[in-house]
Amino acid sequence: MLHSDFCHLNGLTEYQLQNMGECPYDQGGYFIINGSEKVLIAQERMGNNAVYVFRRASTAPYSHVAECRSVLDRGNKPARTAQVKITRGGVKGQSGQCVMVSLPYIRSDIPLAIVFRALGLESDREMMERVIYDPKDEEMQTLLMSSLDMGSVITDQNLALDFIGKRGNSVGATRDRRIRYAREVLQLEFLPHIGIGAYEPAKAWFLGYMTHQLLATVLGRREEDDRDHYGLKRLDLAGPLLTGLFRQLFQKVVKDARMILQRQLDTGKELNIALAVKSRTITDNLKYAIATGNWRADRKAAVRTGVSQVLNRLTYAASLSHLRRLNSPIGREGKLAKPRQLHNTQWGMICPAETPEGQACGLVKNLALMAYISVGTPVADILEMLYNFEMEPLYEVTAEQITRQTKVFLNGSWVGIHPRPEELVTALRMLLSIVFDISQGELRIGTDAGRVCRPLFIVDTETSTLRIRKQHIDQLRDYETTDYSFSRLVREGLVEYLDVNEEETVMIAMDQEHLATSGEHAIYTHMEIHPSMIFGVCASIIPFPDHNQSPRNTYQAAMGKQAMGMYLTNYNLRMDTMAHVLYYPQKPLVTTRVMEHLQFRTLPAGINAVVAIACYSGYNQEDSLIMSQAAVDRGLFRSVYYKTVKEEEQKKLFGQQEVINKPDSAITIGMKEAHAYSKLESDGIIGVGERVRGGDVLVGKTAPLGATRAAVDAAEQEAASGMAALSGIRSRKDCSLVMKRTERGVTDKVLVCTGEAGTRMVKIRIRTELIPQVGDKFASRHGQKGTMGLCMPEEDLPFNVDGIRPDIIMNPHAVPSRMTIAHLIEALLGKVCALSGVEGDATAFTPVTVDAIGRELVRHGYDPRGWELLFNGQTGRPMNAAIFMGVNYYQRLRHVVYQKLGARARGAVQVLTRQPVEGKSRGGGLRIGEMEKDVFVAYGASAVLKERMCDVSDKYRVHVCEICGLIAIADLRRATFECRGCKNKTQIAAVEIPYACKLLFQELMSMAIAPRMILKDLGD
Amino acid sequence: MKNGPVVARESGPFNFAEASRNIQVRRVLHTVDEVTFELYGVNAPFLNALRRILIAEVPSMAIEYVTINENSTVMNDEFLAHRLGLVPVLADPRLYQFRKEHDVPSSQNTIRFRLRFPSVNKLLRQGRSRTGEDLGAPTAHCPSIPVYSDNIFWEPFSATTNAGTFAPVALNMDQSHSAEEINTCGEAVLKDRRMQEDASSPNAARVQPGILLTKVLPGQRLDIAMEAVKGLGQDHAKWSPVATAYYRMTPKVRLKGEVNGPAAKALRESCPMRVFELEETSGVLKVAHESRCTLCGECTRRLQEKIIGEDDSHRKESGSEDLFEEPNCQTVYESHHVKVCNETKRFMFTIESVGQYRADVLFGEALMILREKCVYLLESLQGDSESTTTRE
Repeated sequence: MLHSDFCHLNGLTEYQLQNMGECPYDQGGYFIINGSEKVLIAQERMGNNAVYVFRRASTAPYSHVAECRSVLDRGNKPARTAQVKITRGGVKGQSGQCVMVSLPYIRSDIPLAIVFRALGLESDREMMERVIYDPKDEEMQTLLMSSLDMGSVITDQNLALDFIGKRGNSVGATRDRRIRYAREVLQLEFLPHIGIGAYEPAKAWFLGYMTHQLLATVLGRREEDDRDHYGLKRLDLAGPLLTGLFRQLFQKVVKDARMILQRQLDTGKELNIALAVKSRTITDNLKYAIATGNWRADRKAAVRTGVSQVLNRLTYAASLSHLRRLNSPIGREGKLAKPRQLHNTQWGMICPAETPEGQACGLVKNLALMAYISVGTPVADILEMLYNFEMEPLYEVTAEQITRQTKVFLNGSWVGIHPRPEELVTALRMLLSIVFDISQGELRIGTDAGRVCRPLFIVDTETSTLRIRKQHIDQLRDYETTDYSFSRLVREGLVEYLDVNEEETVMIAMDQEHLATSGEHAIYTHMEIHPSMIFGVCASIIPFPDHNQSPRNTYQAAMGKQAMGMYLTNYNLRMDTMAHVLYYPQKPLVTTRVMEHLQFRTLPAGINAVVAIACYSGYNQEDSLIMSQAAVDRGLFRSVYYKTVKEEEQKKLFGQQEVINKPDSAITIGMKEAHAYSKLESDGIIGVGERVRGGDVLVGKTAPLGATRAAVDAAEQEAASGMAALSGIRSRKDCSLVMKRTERGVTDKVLVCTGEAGTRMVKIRIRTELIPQVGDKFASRHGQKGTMGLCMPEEDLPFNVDGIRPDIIMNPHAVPSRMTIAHLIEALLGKVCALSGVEGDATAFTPVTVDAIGRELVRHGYDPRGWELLFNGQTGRPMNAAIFMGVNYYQRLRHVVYQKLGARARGAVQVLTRQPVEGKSRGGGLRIGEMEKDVFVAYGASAVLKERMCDVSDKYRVHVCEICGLIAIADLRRATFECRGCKNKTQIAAVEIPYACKLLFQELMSMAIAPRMILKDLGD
Repeated sequence: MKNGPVVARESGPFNFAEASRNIQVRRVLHTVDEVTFELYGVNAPFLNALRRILIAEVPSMAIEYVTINENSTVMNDEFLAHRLGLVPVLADPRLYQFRKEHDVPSSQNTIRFRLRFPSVNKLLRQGRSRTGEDLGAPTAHCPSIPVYSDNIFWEPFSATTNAGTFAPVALNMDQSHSAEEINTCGEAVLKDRRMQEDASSPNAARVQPGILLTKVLPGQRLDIAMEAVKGLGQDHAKWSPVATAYYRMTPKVRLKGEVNGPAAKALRESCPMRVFELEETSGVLKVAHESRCTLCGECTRRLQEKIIGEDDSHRKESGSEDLFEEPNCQTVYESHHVKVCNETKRFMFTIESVGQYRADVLFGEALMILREKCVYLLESLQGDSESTTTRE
């Protein structure tokens, strides 16, 4: 991973990085595999070991289920899910609801009492104590009674174990083996996180707790658990993902080594450890996983795709956002809305705006700016500390203790009880995530990896003021001299990182104003750093997002990733497959405070344009824009497009080696026209600074023909010309790299290097200047995208009393239905900024008012609402309405017509139907589709229709027997026609039909259906 | 249309005799680059025609053909060429002819420039080879060196090839460099002594100095030959001789009766351009700086809310009837207290030159082109009528 502790770039200064050809703004955090940058997307999952109770659908036999996904934190044991369920009504003669337990490897559910008995509990009373902590709780006792009755037949542990064993995979085994089998299941597979081995007492306590939670839910004392609560979620970042994969691969290496050594032993050979340990397994498989994103150790396991993605390098913000992306691997097609919805607990952790539209909406998320993912702490250390704090371990807990003491949970699993939890809380509060639930008598501690946390200011509860003081801020401000840092704030207890669970137990003031009211309604313990921190990378670029309709922010968050700008400062050295760089990027006049940290000012992706909102000439209807031709002439939104193509000397089958050279037409077959090669230099590679067009060869490459092919070719030639001896044998085949036919440009950089397998490799970067033209796509920062509808001559544009002409004229109809008020406020503030020469602050949730901006505008001699009297540039007269004109930051989006245009007169056809092929890349035609056809039909243009559908598409001539109406044999060379069936050689007509039609007829004939064309002479 | 400005069309056809009798011109501001004058007695479409001609049809010289011999800077060739094209060429376009597609470049239709960086002299002074191979890459953290348009030098067509042709004359302008100045920085063309003499002569064609073209690091080199040709702003903005040319109608602000007290204060505050002032003694509102008014209409809007019970009926929907009966005025905004009008025949016309022409000369040029157009139109019409008459 780049910029990690093991990276060459780690800890280098800006200057050192520059000298290495690296961009000092690159954040790292991705991998480079096979020359492409790969991001490991954080994977969301449910947390382990915690007990969740869910209600089941009313059709299910069980009304409630308590679940626990139990995973041992060390080793490579797979996760085991234990379930405790309660039936809707009575079963097997029991009148009440019964609690059942599902065990791993056991086919049917076992009554709770039997599992308890198998775990070594003797009496019903003991069982009762495991489940119900308050002896006076009669309601719950009644509910549990029938479940305990179910176990009354099975009176001792062995019977219980046998009962379980019978339902396992031990068909026909002896009773002893059945008992041993059941015991093993309980010891090794049931709730493995408690322990593997003789941990039955502790497991009984835990099973009791699960049942307690289940019953409490049934009785309505606690709510059903919320699956979408973000406190239950854990995020696997690159670290845990790679750890998991490595663990599996290492096991595979060990397993393979053992197998090979075993075989060596068996065959009596000398043991060779170097041969047995396959050193490449781990490296190769890790590489494979990172390169493809298929996250699995062996090919048999289920694939988890899309874990690794190619880093988005279109804009700097897009790269940053990509590195903070999350994916929830839950059912994509599932139309379940809940997991996609924004959850209350996601506040400050996950960006509310930045998510894709459509299929992955709400499943792919982005971290909020200050969100941090916890790195795990080893459980053993924490446990030891807890024991030092007089915690009673779970396996030593007695029934008397439990009623009065507090249960301690570590990462979801119950580890012990403590008599004085308050002490524990005060001692541990600053060290780890701790939740003290007094009502439940539970103390929950979280130290595992993957919890989402965020920093908050700590409030001194006595004075109701922030612990952080001006002096700290001052020190932080000149960090260069004081060496003060944010992590120091955390260490000194001024700022605290809280995870979702702990966040729910604190009182957070929104701002200082709120905090001042502390004590009136609530006593605050924490304060937000800034409410705008709820947004992620892309949404933080939007000015005044709190004044927009929320989907508009989502649209902009997606669109900001398509903007052109400066994605990195070292783009001149990089060989990106595709890159856009804006000629004159500007930092926005209307900024947010976050932009400074996102480097949006240093690496911007847009231009401040003078925008008038007006209907002017009609060329900006339906989300199109009128742009000033003069502004475009002067460089507005000009950009370069870099495209890199690669060619490698590959080794083909039978040791045939491709060679990069200038193909010699004397010995090479399959060559293009001679002038296509004219730009190649003597080494077969095109030079730098060469103007290239579609069809030009960039890299000449030939491959030897197979021995047989060469012979066949030679024979063919001999037959054709009889001059084989003269021309020599053509022994090579041309497989040069050719420029795409619709592209043009200048070769910008040529890189010759050696590929992985020691092959010669050439990379060629082609540069194209993209001047804005009609059809190119632009967008403001408010989800207001549009294409250029007209490049209006400068003199036609309207002008104001100062002679200012707009760069862009946007249509007013784009505003009311979309309610992008922030677009208008931005224009107004932008105008003030342009006039006064300062940056405007448009951070979310700041008290900037339109009135204040208006007052500032008046100070500069402009109308406070941004209205201006414009003169029509064509008539010269003042316009009838005042026009809203201001300065908006506009982005040029990739999607330029130059790269989309495609048309043809004639060209390639499909093999089967002989209709023109589809697609720009194949030089295909433009389809007259179903609806286009309707237009001609409705108009009655039958000739046009026939021309489009037949003449110009797949016209074909068949010869039809006039007697039987079937296709006759036609020998055009001899001009003889015959229908054998009718013995007819004279009455045959030539008919023009589409080839597809002829095909259909023949297919029908193959199915013994005779489609007959009954012809009639229409005369003249 | 309740809240928008009310803009009426001026009435009557254009009357040449009347117009020529009435036209008055008053100069307001006059510098080399910018000229503003008041014009009375014409209408907006006429002035607009001139404005449009100024922007799009007055020819000027601009760099059009760029040959890049060497460019090892980070800025790519197309980018650099585009920037060079936008540099104003300070040569009088009237002395040149348009160069058509197959015309041979000559001193009649082309100005040749050359940009070399580092300059030849500098290389010689540093005692390094002219190829600059040993200049090497930067060894330490060094700041980039700006390359300005000052490094672009005229390269006249040599005397032998264009013997006896006239030398283009640069416009004599205030901020033009003296011969010595050019000499001090003009070390570009050393190979030919004669050429250097030409370059330092007052007849030399120049380029607007002080424009940043690109930035280079030590070791990076530029050698670019350029040809400037005559062109029109309608083809590319680089040929437009004006930064902008525009006009505004002269505003007239009238108070309806005496305004004083809080209303007066509110009105004064409402105006972004501070048109109104209070009379010191009486506190009565007066229109002090009428010409500043930008016709935003804020003064009419601000107080409208306070006039309760009155509807918009007093507002003028057209400029036809006029409360104060001022000639050639159309009311744009009107409220209970104030009326804001446009004087339809009095304009402030501003021309901001880019540098090829003096701003005042530009107006004359525009008029000439307009005249030519009129003459052409007349001739075509007459030609037509003649042909029709002959047919009859």
